Amino acid sequence: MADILIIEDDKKINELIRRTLSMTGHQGLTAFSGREALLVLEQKRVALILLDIGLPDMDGFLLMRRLAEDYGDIPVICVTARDEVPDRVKGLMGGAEDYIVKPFAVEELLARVQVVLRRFQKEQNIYIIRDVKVNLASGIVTKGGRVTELTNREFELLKILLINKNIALSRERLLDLAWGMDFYGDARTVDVHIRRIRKKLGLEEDIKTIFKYGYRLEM
Amino acid sequence: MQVWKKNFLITYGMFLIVIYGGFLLLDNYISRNEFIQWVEHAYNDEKSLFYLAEGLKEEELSRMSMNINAAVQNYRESGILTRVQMNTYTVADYFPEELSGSRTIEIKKYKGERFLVIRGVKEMDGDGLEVSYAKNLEALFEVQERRLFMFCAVGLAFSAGIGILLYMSMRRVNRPVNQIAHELRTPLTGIRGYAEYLMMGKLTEEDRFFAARQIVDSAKNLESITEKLLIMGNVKEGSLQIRRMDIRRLLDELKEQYPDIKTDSRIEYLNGDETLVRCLLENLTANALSAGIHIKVTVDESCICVWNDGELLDEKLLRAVNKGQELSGLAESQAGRHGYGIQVCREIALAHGWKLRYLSAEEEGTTAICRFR
Repeated sequence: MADILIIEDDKKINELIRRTLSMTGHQGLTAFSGREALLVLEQKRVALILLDIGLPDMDGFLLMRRLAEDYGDIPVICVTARDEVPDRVKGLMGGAEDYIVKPFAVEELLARVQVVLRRFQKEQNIYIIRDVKVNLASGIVTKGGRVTELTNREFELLKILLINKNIALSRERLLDLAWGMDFYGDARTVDVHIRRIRKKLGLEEDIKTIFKYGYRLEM
Repeated sequence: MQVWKKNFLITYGMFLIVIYGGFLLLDNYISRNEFIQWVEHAYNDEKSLFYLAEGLKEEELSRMSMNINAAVQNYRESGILTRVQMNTYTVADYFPEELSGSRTIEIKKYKGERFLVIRGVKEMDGDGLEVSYAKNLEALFEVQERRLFMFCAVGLAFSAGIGILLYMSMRRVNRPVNQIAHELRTPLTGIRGYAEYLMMGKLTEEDRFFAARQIVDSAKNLESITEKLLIMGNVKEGSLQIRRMDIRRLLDELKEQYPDIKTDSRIEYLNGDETLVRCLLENLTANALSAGIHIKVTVDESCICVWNDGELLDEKLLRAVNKGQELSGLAESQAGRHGYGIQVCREIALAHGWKLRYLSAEEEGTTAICRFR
């Protein structure tokens, strides 16, 4: 999984992002100021930077310019309380791949991180859960070395659970992500598909049911 | 686009309509009057010529012709073109054929210039006397165009000035709203984020406790911000309860809250709103604590001083703090203040008629002085 640098001066939010990322298997490196971030980058190569614009020692936009000059291949996502259109434009024009405004939904942050990692081909494509191997790029799922046939919808659902591993997703959210916003199906559709995935791949223990909420794939 | 910007544009647009509409109406009124005066003047000129021709009618034709020619010559020198005809005989003629017409009064163009043409005909003892008169209007129109241009320029300068003032004042009114939204976002992110974290994850008991603690801390932070905002709101509305308060007791309470600080009061009582003065002392002390290690709060007959041994504030920042200007995140952090602290203190000081100033010098530390006037 990816090493992600979190540049955020608020310790609580920095820790929140780090913990959330680590739940999905990413490693979060923390920096509370611009200078600290540059020091971290000198020592460690990261796949993605989450940058707060309002830093105590330097302007976030200025830091972004420095990052673009010295570490141009590392994508940056701005995570900031500044929601004004000029700030968003400045951030995106300054080289940010995405712009997230506080307060954000943790799921949304993870989804955007995933999208940027995918765009930069830094996303994990192969997941292994005991004897089950899932290749997201080729769409091949094997169990005990033998290919297991999944329907498109089952594969989508499994993919979403894998990307958001260790995170509880509501049935509604799973419906939205796997079937799309336009799908007017019942939440029980999710239950049926989850049951099938569990049966086909023997993941009864791994895909946990969260009472009155949804499911979580534990890895 | 933000609502206040839309409001500004609508207000400014209406203001422009009023300003330019007013100027145009005024210009129209003045120009119309001027034109009427010009026409009356031209009409009088034409009448004078008419009377002259009428008076000379008894004289012999050559003498009459000479006198009228002299008068017409004078008119011509002042840009007025005329022709006097008696029956078919032309007594004097400086009137171009292009301006001839059948109407009594009209505006016609000749050589690219506009003329006011007046034609007078009178039957006298069987003789027909006709006087044609044309006065160049370009000078009048030039004056009117110049005035219109001047009105536009004045309108432009005026509307630009008013526009800037309006924009600044609307922005000033709106800015606190933006700042409040910005300030509230950080604790809200903490509350929402950790709540989601609690819901989503496979967490240990320790993780749960940690997340819950973060939520409580963020909620406290949110409470503190809203409290400060409420205080600012009350102070701005002027709801003060000034009374004699025991300042030594207040300082003792402050010391209980921040045990490491030193306090000293040379006076026993101070007149002010106790809740607000307590808030002022707490904020100044909290700011000082975030900037330095050693803090001293002293109160005497003339001021409240909160000193800290933190780093020197640079001149630009000091000026901005003392002028009550909005500080950037970086400057806020250097000034050792968080959120609305300093702004609240300034509002409280102002409400009491006091003045808050910061002094900072190398090796002397930084002092917030709230001087009683």
